[in-house]
Parts: sequence; structure tokens; C-alpha cells
Amino acid sequence: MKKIIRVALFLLIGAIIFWVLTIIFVPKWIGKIDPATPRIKGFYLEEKNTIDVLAVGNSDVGRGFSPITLWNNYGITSYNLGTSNQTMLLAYYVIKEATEYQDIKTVVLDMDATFVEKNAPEGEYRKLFDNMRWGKTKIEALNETDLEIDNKLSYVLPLIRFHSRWNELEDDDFYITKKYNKSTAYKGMAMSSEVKPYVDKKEYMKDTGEVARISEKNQLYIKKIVDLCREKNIELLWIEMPSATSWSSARSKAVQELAKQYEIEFIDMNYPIPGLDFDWESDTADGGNHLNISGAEKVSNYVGKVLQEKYHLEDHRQDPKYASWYDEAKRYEKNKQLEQMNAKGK
Amino acid sequence: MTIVSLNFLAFIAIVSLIYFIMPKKIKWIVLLLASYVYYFISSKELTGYLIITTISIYLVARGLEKVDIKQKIECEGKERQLKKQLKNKAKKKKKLLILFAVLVNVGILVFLKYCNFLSENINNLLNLVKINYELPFRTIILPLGISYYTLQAISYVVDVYRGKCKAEKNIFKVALFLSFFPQMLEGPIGRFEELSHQLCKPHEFEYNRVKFGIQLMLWGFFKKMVIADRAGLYVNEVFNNYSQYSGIIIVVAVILYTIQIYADFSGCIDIVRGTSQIFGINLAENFKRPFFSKNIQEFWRRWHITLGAWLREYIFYPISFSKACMNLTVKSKKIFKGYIGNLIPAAFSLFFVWFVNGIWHGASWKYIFYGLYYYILTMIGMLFEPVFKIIINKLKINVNSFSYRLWQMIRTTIIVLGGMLIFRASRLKVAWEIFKSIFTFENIGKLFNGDLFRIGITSGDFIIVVIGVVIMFVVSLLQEKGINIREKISRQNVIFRWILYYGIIFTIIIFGIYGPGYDASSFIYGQF
Repeated sequence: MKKIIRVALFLLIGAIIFWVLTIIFVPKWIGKIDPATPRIKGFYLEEKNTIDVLAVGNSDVGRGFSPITLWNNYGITSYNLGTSNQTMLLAYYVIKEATEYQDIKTVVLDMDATFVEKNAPEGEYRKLFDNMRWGKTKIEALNETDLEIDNKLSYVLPLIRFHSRWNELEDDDFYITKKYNKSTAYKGMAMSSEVKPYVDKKEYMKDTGEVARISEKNQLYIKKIVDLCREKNIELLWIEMPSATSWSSARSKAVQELAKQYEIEFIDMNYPIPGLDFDWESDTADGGNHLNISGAEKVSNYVGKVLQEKYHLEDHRQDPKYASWYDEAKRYEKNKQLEQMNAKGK
Repeated sequence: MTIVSLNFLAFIAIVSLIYFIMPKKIKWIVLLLASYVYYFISSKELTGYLIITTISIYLVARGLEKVDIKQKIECEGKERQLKKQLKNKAKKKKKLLILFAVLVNVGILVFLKYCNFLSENINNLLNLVKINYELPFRTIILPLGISYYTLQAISYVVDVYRGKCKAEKNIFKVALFLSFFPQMLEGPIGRFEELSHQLCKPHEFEYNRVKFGIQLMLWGFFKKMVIADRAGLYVNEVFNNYSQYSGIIIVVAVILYTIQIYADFSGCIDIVRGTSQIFGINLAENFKRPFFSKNIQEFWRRWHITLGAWLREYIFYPISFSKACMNLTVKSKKIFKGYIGNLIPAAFSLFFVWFVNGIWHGASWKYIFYGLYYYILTMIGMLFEPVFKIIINKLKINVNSFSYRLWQMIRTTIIVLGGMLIFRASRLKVAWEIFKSIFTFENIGKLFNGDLFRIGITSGDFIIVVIGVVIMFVVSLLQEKGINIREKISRQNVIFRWILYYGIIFTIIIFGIYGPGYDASSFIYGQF
């Protein structure tokens, strides 16, 4: 009996050391372009049932949807869980996971990933899953992905995947109790102040008469998202961020058809919309693919207006329970000014 | 399923759990089934070759025993002359049987392992004499561990023939002797009388024994994953692109390769022996601090011990005591007399030992030359031994001094390094090219300016290899002094022991070379 206790204790201490080392060795994605760690870990730190709107999609959303703008202009509380290369499969599980922690009223889903057929690169899986909490949804999501069994094991024990980082560990890696909510993400949004106009000027939304094809897999996960939202009484709004390098009228048409089928509103911001005031000269960070702060605020303001008018989301600005949002807004404004100054300096 | 994999660890955990909960009588059957499951997973239909070998040696051993029994019964009460005749008759029968066993098993090995090598050389010969015919090449996949289990099979039938062990009545016990899963991949080459009774004896769970087994496995994982595989990154880069490197870069590569192969092979053997120890089976030692050897002969008594012992028992002795060699001894003693006269028959037998040693390692001229390299150096050593003795006496060198012993060890190590260069090079010609490229002093500065750390591994990796080698050296030194390290550790207090255990476990997990590796550049933002 004594020996059994001794072995159990040895294994327990070993497991604790393993766990601490795992926290140290898993990469921290805190860069301002792709702050996956503070975005995802920060979500879990939000007070329960305080987020009304969830924005989901790939990096177009990650960099183009500004929850602070929605707060400042409409008092709507939202969170941006748009992660780079997020496929429809991953979007489904992100929504599912989020609804387990927050009483989401509306999901804003960017439809760019509708036409992505290949799997996300390993790094994107890692950014999402390594920061996601363990639970039924994560296990289900890992099972659904077509990762090899050895690879799947490395999501359970990430240390075996990242052990070779021993010679590139930095101070950030050792802050094992660090909370990532106050970092490079602003309620999940990645802020970029660079301005690189879309110079191609070709009319990418010109009607060619074509309708793009949506793969069966993506159709399946879009349906699953619709069903999940309906089951949980969540409103669903489909949007398409301005994205000159990845979007087209054929794609827009395909999504419009699908939206009609599911009776869901679809806002394609690649078409001229009164009141959006979007400008490819000043509102893109990288020549037409992603939005910068200016573009993100314009788009978010427009979406916020729609959410307020059509989806009747509550204005929480007078509610003392949400006082911390003002602090986050201040941090956002301060860093936005710094970012813009830096960008001008360049 | 390689022995350095999570699958293997899981396999051992499952098999040992079943082994310890099963009743005594069927414990060995658990090992047999596990061994065949392991073999089948790795080799699929090639398991047939293992079965053929098992059946053939089982039948031959039983046949040998029957001939012996029959001869004893027939000899009872017979006259001396008749007894002799019957004995000779029986001996002939036994020789035929043993010849059959050797031909079947060596035949399979030669066909599978050396067929293409033979075809290539016959084709070259035909080409040389301008005969327009080419033997075809075959795509052959070798059954797992065939080079090891074939030697075990031969040793079993020869031992039965020699009366050193009895023929096993149960074919499944012979099957277990040949297929015991931990030793399938890299040996050690076991002997039936030492191994079989251990395999078949039921072993209950014993805390300390299992603990010692796991400790030995951890030590093996450390050597293999932390040292060998890390050194291999540099070695592979240099040997795969040898034309780009010369001088000190090559010297470091050869030294690192020697460290790699020692840490790799002895590490795997430690894992194998540790695994076996969990089941209560003590496998033969295969390495005994070979780099403390004073000469090549001693080196080969300490390096891959079970192969050396096998070659001595089943190649050297049969040839030395053969009629041809006896005649040669008589003739050479008549012609040369004295030291040289004794040397010639030894040289004759040793040639076959080193030739087989070389070719056993692989079907290539470089391996044959590898064996002959040691043969030539051994013969030079033996031939000039009297001369060396005279020089030592004249110079009044104290052969018992530390400095002389150190010189002997360094000399042996340099010879071994030469052998390793041949062993690692892709072909004999390449080995020669690499050897020639050593002799330049132009790039000696690379040893100090950091360029060394841009060849496959970083400075951090180099430091880990150096620390690893120092740890291996200290452990070897303690073992050389007769200290049983695991016993010694078990007598320390619990905090020290646990720190040590966690230290080695997490050193392997963090610094071991495994998995796809982390390349931050492959994780960078994809702009989508």
C-alpha cells in the first residue's frame, strides 16, 4: 500500500511539473497582427454572461471587427473571436465553445471562409486549440479535424510538440500566471494602423454571371452553425468584410443564395453601402486584404448600427456592471493614438 | 513500432500488465503472443520467415537429439570397435542435419540481405569479361531482426549438436527464444541455455526489479534521444554533403558519429535490457565501456559483446579446430617455427571472423572493408608484438603507468574512429574521399569562430552533447570501478532520488530529439 501511494505521489508531482512546463513551452501569440493568445485566453476572463455579440471568422474579422467601436457608439458588448485561417469547421466549434461561457444574443459570422477548401495550416490549429480550455467542445473539435493520431496526441500533451523551443524561450514564456486580457488584443480585435491602399483598382465585384461553388464540407458546417444558433436562440448575421484580394461577385452570389435559403441577413460590405463610407485608399492595411483601424471602425460602426436597429441589442453604457468597458475603451484609444503616431513616423 | 516511440511504451505497459496478472503457467505464452503481435505489426507477412527458421531449428535440434539417443541405445553392450563405428555414423548424420539447418537459415539471410549485392558484383564481373548478361535486382524488404535471430537460431542448433544444451521439446518455447520482442531490433544476441529458461520461468511483479528496469530504460532513452540523435544532426549534414566539408569539420563529424553510434546502440540495448528486466529477464550485456579498451581485441570484447562472442564460438573455434586449419598449423610450424608459425593459423581463422563481422553489418563492400580494416590492424599488432615489447623494454616504459594506459586508450580510440568513418560513409570510395579531405589545416579556425554551430546543430545543441558525453563518461568511470550505480542511487534519500528521476525524465522530454520539431517560421501568420 505504501508503495502504491509512493508511486501515485511520484506520478502526481511528475504531472504537475509536466503541466507547468507545458505552460512555459507553448508559444505565446501576443504579436499585434495575430494576438491569438490574449484573444482566446482573454475571452475566458470576461465576466460570465456579459457579452451579447460574438464576431467569428478568419483574420478579416480578427482585424476588421472592433468591439470597442460598438461599445463607444452603441453600448453593445461584443467579442472578436476571429482567428487567422479559421475554417467553417473551426468557426462552428468557436461558436459552440463561446456559448458555453457567455449568453450570446447575436453571432456575426464572416463568410470569407465559405470558399476555403483546404485545411488550416498546423500553426492556426495550434493557436486556437492550445489556447482553448479543455472540455467537451475541444475534444469534439479535435476529433473532427483530420489530424493524424500522433498529432492529435500532441494537442493533449503540447509539451511533446513544443519541447524543442528550449533554446528560444523568452521572458514572456515564464509568466505562467500572466493574464492575457490586457495585451495586444482589444476584446479580441487585432489593431493595425498601417495604411497600404488597394491600388489594383480593378472592379473585383463586377458581375461575371458566375456563382461560386461551396464545398460539401463547408455547406455542412454552415448548416451546423445555423442549427446551433437556432437551437440556442441566437440571432445570426452574416457579413463579408471588404476584402478586394479574396472576394468576388461570384462568391457574394453564392452566399446570397445560401442566405436566402436559410433566411439569414447577409451584408456584403464589398458593395457600396450608403453610410459605410469605406475607402480603399485609407482603410486597408495591406493593399486590399485586411482592414486597418480606420477601416475596422467604419465597418464596425455600420454593423453596430444594424445590430442596434434590427437586432435590438441592449445599450449597457449606463449599467455600472459594465464599468470596466470604459477602461478597455480608454486603453484602446490610447494605444490607437500611439499606433497611428508610429505609423506616421514610419 | 520502433523502441523509441510512445507506441512502444504503451505496448510494454499493456504487455507487462497482462503478464503480471496472468497465472504463472501461461506467463511465457503472454510473452510469446506479445512478441508475435509486435513482430506481425512490424513485418506483416514477412513473419513467415521467422516461422520457417523456428520450425527448421526445432526439427533439426530434435533430430540431433534423436540421433544421440539412438546411438546410445545401439552402443549399449557393443564392442569398442563397433561403438566407434556407430559413433562416427551418428556424427555424420548430425553433421548433415546441422548443415541442413545452417544452409536453410543462412540461405534465407543471404537471399534476402545479400541477393542484390551478389547480383551487382556478378554483373560487374560479367561486364568485365564482356559477357552480355545481367542478373536482375529484386526489391526485397528485410524481415525485422533477421540478422539477429538467424545468429541465435544457428547458435541453438550448434549448441545442441555440441551437447551444450538439450533440444527443446516444445516448439513454442523455441519460438519465444527467437522472437522475444525487446531484443528483435538490435539484439543482444542471446544463447538458448542462458535465455530460454528465463523466458519460460514465471516472474511475479517485484517492485525493485521493475523500478531498476525502468531506470535502465530511462538511461537508454537519454543516451539515444538526447545525445545520439542530437549528434546525428551534425553528422548527417556533414556526411550527406561531404564534398562541401573538410579538415576539422570532418574530424568533428567522425568523433560525433562515434559518440552517436555508441550512445545510440548502447542506449537501445539499455532500453531492451531494461524492458526485459521488467519481465524478470536478464539479457546479456552488449557493451562494457569500450572506450576504456587498451587495444582493438579488447575493444571488440567490450563493444557489441554478444556478436564478438558469437563469432568466436561459431566461426573462430570451428575454423580453428577444422582439419584444414590443423594441417595449416602443422605446416606453418614446420616452415616458420616460433612466433610466426603460431601466428599463421590464427591469421587464417581470424580472417573469416572479421570477414563475417564486416558482411554481417550490411551488404556492401564498405562493410567487408570495415571488417578487414580491423583484421589488418589486428594482424599488424600481433605481427609486431615482439618488436613492440623490445622497444618498450629498451625505452624502459612502465606499461602499468596511467600515462601508458591513457596512450593505449587514445590509440585504440583513433583506430576506432577510422573504422567509424568507413562505417558511416555511404560507399567505400566516399570513405576514402572523406579520409583524404581530413588533411587540411585551412579551416581549423572554424573550431573557434562559431561556424561549427551552423552545421545542422546550434551551439546550445553542442553544449548538450558535451554535457551528455561528460555524464556518460562519469557513469562509465564509476561502472569501470565496479560501482553499481542503480544500487547506489537506491540507497540515497528519497528527495535526492526523486530529483534525479524527474531530472532525467524531463531532460529526455525537453532535450530529446523527437517529433516534427518547432520551426517558428512555419507558424508565422499566413496572411489569410
